[in-house]
Amino acid sequence: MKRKSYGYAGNILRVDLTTARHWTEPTSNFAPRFLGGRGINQWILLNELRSWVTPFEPANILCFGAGALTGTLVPGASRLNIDSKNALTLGIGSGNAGGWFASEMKFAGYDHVVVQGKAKWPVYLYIEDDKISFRPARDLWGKTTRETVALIQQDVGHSDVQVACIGPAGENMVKPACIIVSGFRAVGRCGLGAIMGSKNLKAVAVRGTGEIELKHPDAFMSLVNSVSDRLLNIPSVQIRKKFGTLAVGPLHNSFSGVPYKNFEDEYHPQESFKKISPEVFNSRYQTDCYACMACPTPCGHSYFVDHGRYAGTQCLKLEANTQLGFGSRLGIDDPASNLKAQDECGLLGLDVDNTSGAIAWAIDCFQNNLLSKDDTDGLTLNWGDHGVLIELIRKIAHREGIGNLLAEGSLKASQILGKGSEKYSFHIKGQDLVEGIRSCKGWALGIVVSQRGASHTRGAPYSEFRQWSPEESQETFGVKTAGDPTAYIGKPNLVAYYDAACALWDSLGICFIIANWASPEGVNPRELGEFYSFATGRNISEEDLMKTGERIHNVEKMFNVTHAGFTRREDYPPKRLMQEPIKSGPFKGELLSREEWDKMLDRYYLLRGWDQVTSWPTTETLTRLDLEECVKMLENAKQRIDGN
Amino acid sequence: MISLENPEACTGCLRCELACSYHHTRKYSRSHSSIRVDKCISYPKQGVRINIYHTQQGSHPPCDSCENEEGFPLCIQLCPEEVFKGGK
Repeated sequence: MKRKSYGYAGNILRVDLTTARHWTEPTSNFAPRFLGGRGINQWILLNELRSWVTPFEPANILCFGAGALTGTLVPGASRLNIDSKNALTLGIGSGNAGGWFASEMKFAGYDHVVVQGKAKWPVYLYIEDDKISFRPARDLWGKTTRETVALIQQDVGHSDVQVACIGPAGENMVKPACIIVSGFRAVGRCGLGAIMGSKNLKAVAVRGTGEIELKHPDAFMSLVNSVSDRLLNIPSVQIRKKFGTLAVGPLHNSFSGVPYKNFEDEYHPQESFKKISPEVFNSRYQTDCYACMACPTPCGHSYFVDHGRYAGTQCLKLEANTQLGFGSRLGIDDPASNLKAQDECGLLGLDVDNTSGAIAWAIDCFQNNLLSKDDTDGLTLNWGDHGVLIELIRKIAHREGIGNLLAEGSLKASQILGKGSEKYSFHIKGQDLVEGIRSCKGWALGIVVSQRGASHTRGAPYSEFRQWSPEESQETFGVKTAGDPTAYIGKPNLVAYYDAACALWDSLGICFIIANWASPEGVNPRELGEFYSFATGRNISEEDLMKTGERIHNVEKMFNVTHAGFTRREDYPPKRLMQEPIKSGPFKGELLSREEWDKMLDRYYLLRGWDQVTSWPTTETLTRLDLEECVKMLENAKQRIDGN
Repeated sequence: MISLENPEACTGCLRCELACSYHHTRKYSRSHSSIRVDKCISYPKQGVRINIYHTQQGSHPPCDSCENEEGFPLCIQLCPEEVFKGGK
């Protein structure tokens, strides 16, 4: 039965692949406490997934969630969150992408699609309003993501169908496998593509003809207009329009914040880095520019390589992660190879960060004589050599030769190889670190305490790179140091602001670039509260909204406590980044002080209401956040620890 | 009468479609808009095609140039790339 509720589609579609059954439940069961998107996904996982279920078992659950404001005209409200048990860390698995898929889900009548079980043979799920069908995908198995989209368009007879699909990497349960959305956006991290593959689910395709009804449409539209006009004049937003996220590469390098040659340094020498600068990609290769749903500031550039070794490469989206991961991290400064590597990853369904991390680990091992040509199928692995890069990417996606080892991710690969190779795996909680973190301390703290493993989109502040003024800092965070990169003091306040704010954005479906992350002038929680209140008719203050973000953050913490047993120990950076200083660049000599890190963690846990020793939420914190159901879970987890 | 001023600049954000459906129904949808943007992001067909309906086409109502709305027609107001031109 379809239900209507203001701002929402009103329904959660539940799908069991094992029995090919589907049913719905009302979104309103969850929306008041968890909003939508990531919030509702994570609450469903915490409550329904038993802690002993492993990521690739049929019992694992894969949740697709549209943001609560997605499908409306709020700038940047395009986002889709996909959540499951993390294939790399065993804690929370969570990823987010733009495109046009999430709004199409809502127009079809569903805020969430929750998938459990495993199909007997490859299928794809087709949703067209009320009609749900499980369609055979044998002919799609082995196809690239681009081929898959084209074949599904043919199969359903509509070119405007929206598709979230996996490539061969996901089918082969490669841990760095991602899910490609709308043809060119990636839900990259946590091995979510591998989980989809483990369920024999090649794709979810959706087409919707419905509508989103708001409680106060005119007040909502008035706010849309005023916020849109302001956003178009913010420099950090404008620069994204020209270069996409590539714009941040030179910025990070100027802060000695790139993982040069697998963190041997965090500064890519300028002469070399210039060869992969945003201007080079823009002037030589860029062909077009696309915006996600409802976004006034397009950042999705496409590229074409028309000459040289990689001629014929068409790359539909390039992020700074590619420039830093397949460029700086591997010591490569050939821009066309960056485009080719990105395109291969997109076609094969591989996450750029975890893939480049595994390859960097392999090169480091080869250079230090822990791997030989006998182990690498005859390949010589050198820094700066893009000749073998594409072959390694293909080997990983197909689990061929050395690719089968790297398909486990750098941490697991290092544990299999042994010989001390663990020191070349830079990861947090088992997920590869891609960001340089020794210079900007708040950035580092946010990335390291991220609950899905290394990630700068779960609470890391961006204010240090943009050098917010002390006044702007004081107004938003209550401390003056937000713009001071090397200061440790005050940084936990920033992370305790943004971990809640990020949960909020991912649950409302708002893009980070539009929100007050890169710039204090971005859409702020007060405005988001107004949007949500006008949309749903449920009045919510800025304070309540931030508390909701904190609640969602604690739900994820409880998942990590109960499923992965993470404690304070998992909230430290890799040892080498606390022992070896940056060797060159403007922040030469910087490292992460163990003593200062401890103080930051103490302060962060205090602000969060988490225990200083275990890092787990206290009973009081869970009660304050209206998470009484979690108190029993916490007690059980404590008993297990005591029992051991 | 609304027409296309600069269709090459379209980025496929669909803000015009949502604005148009809001004008007709005070709700957001793609199916009750007088504008339809079809986009193909991959080669060799890369590009965007924009249709403005001046007569009823299935669920799509005809464009009435946003009569009864304040200011410019909403597609002109909301399009960040100035793709549309025209008035009431």
